[in-house]
Amino acid sequence: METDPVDAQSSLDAVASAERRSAEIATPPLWFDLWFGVTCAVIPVEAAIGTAIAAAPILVVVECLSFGLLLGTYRRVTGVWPRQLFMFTHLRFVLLLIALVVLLVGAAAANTQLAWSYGLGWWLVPVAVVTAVLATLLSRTGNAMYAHVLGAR
Amino acid sequence: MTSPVFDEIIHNPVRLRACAMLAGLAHAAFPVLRDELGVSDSVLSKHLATLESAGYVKLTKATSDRRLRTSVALTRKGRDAYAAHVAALRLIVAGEATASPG
Repeated sequence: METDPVDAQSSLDAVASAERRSAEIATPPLWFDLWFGVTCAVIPVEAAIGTAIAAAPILVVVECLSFGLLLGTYRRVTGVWPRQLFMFTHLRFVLLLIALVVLLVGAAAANTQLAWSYGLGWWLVPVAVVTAVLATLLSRTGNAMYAHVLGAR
Repeated sequence: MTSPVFDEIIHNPVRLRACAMLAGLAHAAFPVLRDELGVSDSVLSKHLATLESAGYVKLTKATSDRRLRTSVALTRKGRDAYAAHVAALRLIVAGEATASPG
């Protein structure tokens, strides 16, 4: 070992500071979560329209484009791409993903049932808004978890 | 558990901070690293070339919007070497703490 403890400590401080900064840069800002939430809300709307009228492939295309544009914008704005796989070793993060899937599948199933029973109506708006808000909150929580794990390593 | 191995290539302050920045990322754009490390293009290029020749980072160049963009990523070997180096630094600090109680 060719360094003294003072040098080693200052190196460790620099490492901690750089890792924290890296986490700050990689953590998606609020607009990312809002955009993500709104895009997620299209899924149950799509299910309702598909049940009441006919399948709406245009919504699937819009949704895929929105997700693609969201990730592209994030990458362009931040200039980085996060490592996500290591987050799957964190139980709370996995539970959060499961909650998101349950939310989207649940909202789509509920919308299918409502559209089957009552046809399309104003009920679609609150369901979409609630889905968007919950998906936004889940995204925000997941990103905060990512920032915490990455910055506190 | 990472075995501590002091790495002279990584220990340079700019290269150490670059590795620390990249450790949590899949990759980062060259300008982001340059700005965060507060060095010039040429200085960062030189340090990245050193890390690249050791097999610690991979530089990828792609053209986007008619501009050449370079992104930098730690390789598996680089991640292992960085983790081992940080473990070695912790060992040095812990050794000092043990050697001089109080």
